[in-house]
Amino acid sequence: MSQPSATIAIINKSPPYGCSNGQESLDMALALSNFAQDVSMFFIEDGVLQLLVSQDSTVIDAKAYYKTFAALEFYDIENIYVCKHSLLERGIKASQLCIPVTLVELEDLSKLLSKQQHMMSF
Amino acid sequence: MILHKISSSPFEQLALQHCLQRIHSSDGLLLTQDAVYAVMHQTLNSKLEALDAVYILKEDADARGVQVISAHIQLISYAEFVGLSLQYEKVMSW
Repeated sequence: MSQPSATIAIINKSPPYGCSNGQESLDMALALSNFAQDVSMFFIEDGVLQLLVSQDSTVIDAKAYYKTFAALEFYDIENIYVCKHSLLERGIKASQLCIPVTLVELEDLSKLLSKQQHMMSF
Repeated sequence: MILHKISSSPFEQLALQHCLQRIHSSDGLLLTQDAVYAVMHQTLNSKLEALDAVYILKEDADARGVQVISAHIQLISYAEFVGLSLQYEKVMSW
């Protein structure tokens, strides 16, 4: 029995290691994709810091979960949106991120979110 | 002489800003955990330059992929963190 597919937005606002939100949202995205749901990932505010390619969490004995972002494309999660303003605010260039992403302007975020049937915020 | 310890991201919380408004020039400032992102903050970064002693925990910066370019900020280890907490009369956690 196949469930009808829903469009689901996962919104990441938290930095990577202060709390487990980042790891949990990624687990959720991969799990939803296994159930053939149409997942889009959004990274805003400190959430963009999760994508920095220069991370090395082994020095604080934390799991290097950012390496799993590279698996998103194999789970057919292709819509990965990153807030341009949040990157600029933190002096981060798109070339410093670990995966290819779509940059979005502040004002376009709500437009993209309004197309989604469900939203989850981490 | 107080060592002020910040551990939250300055983009999410105001702990660092509140501390910087009150810190004395002879005090030390230590950035740990998500507070290491302060070096990416354009306006707060220049305020850090104005302080005599700014420390950042190297492990926390490296883990988060944060590069500390300023020669003004001293990268320290956990062992040096312990040393600092003894060197300063008091430690205040914000």
